[in-house]
Amino acid sequence: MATNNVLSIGEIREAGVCVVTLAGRIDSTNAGEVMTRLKSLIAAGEKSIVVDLGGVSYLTSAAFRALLVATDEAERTAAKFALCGLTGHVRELFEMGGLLELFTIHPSRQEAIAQGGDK
Amino acid sequence: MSKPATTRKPANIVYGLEDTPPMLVTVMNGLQNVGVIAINLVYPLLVFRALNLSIDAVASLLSAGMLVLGVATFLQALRLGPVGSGFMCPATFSATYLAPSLLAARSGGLALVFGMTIFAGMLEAALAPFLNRLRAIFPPEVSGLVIFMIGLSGGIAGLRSLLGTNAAPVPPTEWIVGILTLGTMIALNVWGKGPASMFCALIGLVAGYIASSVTGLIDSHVMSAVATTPWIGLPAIHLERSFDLAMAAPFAIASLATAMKAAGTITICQKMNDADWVRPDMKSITAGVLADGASTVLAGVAGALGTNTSTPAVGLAAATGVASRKVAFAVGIIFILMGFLPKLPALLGLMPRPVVVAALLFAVSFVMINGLQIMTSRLLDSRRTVIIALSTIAGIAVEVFPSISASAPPGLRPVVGSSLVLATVFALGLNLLFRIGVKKTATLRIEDAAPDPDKIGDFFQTQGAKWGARPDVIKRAAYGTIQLIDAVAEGCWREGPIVVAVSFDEFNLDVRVSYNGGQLLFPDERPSLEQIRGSEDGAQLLAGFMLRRNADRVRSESAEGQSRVLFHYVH
Repeated sequence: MATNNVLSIGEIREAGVCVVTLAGRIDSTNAGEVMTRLKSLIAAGEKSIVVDLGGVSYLTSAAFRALLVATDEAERTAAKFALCGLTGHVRELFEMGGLLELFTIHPSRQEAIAQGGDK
Repeated sequence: MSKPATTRKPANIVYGLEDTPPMLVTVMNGLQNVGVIAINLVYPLLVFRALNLSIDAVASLLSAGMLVLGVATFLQALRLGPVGSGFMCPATFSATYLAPSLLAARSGGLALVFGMTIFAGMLEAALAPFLNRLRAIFPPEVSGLVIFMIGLSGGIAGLRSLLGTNAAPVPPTEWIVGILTLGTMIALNVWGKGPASMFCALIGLVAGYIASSVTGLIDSHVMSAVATTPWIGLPAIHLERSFDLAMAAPFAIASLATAMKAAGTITICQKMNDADWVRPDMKSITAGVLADGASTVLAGVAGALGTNTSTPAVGLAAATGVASRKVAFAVGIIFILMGFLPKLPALLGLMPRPVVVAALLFAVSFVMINGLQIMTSRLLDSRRTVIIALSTIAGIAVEVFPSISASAPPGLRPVVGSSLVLATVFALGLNLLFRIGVKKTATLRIEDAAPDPDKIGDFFQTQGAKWGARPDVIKRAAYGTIQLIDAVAEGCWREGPIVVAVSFDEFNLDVRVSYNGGQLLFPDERPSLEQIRGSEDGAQLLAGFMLRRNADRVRSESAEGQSRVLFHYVH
């Protein structure tokens, strides 16, 4: 739990999809940063966003709220918004919050890109 | 925490729980399971033999027993409301009930055996929801000892009932047949491969029957009685039931032991069917133990001995990779059909004495070793050593010196008269005594609500390693604490330090978080999407909801501006 817990946000473009990679810990101290970044991408007219959580060590309810607000924003602008890289403990946290059905989730980044962020 | 809605099938499982194997695979696996379970028919056989019943009567009772096993297997595999784990976990007769049933048979005949069996089943069903809380009273050293004593007392009781109290001299022919039967079972078990090893007990029984018939141990008029038994018939139900308070202790202990074993077998089923298995799912365990108890009640009603989940059958499913519930249905149907074929139980009913002894010794060996493995599954410190050693000696003393029971005050005889009961009472008493001073506590102060999650995580990991706590439980507790403090610091905290006090006593991990500020809510239902998105309060409610699901129990209280949250984790 002690290593690589600082939040890092990366962004790459693959096959017309904007892939946002999140790594480290996301809690109330930095969830706002994630929300702002995602909202600004949507506001900039991004139509297909995939958030890769593969590098996330854990997230708290503040992080879930940030992702749900971004999902809402994407729906408003008819943009596709999906998650991938949910494994182990992070997936367990989504299950714990009963949140799996609230997001479009792909098993891998490749599949998410192939679907263009859609289900 | 709740179980994932869907489970991922492990790589070694060919046909998972909800898969439908081809008909031939289903039937063959069903027959294999019946073959593995068949050896345990020796337990009711011993009890009925102890009462000198006729072969017809024994056959009829065994038929009813087979029907019970069939229905019990269905009950476990189906999910009828709160009853049944839904797993391929067939029922079998259990060594656990052998010694108490022999005791009841001698004291009050079949009526008492069946009456007490109903009592034991009802008790097991009643205990099902409380199994988690009983773990502190029955740690592995105590439950292992109980299982070991079940094997030991069952073996001794069986031998005594066959050979008489003074172990009358055994004719050489019987020695030869007995050694041949047991030797076949052991040889195939140790050196056999595939089906030969899997069906070693069944093959040994067949070898014993052949040897008995060659040496004249099965007399011809008995054989002709079997020959005249019809192929198809209805089992007769023995209707009388009675209850004796003096028998309550041995049956209650047997009931507890079967509940613990059923919980263990269902945990194996959970692991076998879920590649991502993390921890036991108490919901399916409770439902499974409830089905196990209901099956024992049914056994008492129908005229059979208490039943239990069959661990070897579950082991067979793991070995073959066929864990489908459809196989359980096949096992159930085969047993029910066998219940209507009187020739088979009649053949079992005439099992010669040396074959019964061999089968009994072979079966209880595994029970005893299972008990030893459970006892030694944890480091045997001085506390556990004393519990195991003194309780075993107490139990064996009853078998070696029957005068202990005869000279005991009448009120104490139910306890002192049975090696199983006395050993269990000793182990329970010593365990409770030695729990004094077991609890350990550690505290972490977080100044000014500026939590460092790494520091909290390290605190839990360090304490967990020091106390020998399970890493998965420590991880949950650490996450719960980090999430709680994150939410509290964001919306509830007013001033002063946040204090985290963690206590551990082998079976319970309790985390108490105290701070000056308002209470966080822990809703049972997830807040709506609108609530979560709408404001920060939504994230707080979601935190509370997740924390409720993360811990096994959550308590929150507030007085004079000071709030406290208690998370309880079962260890």
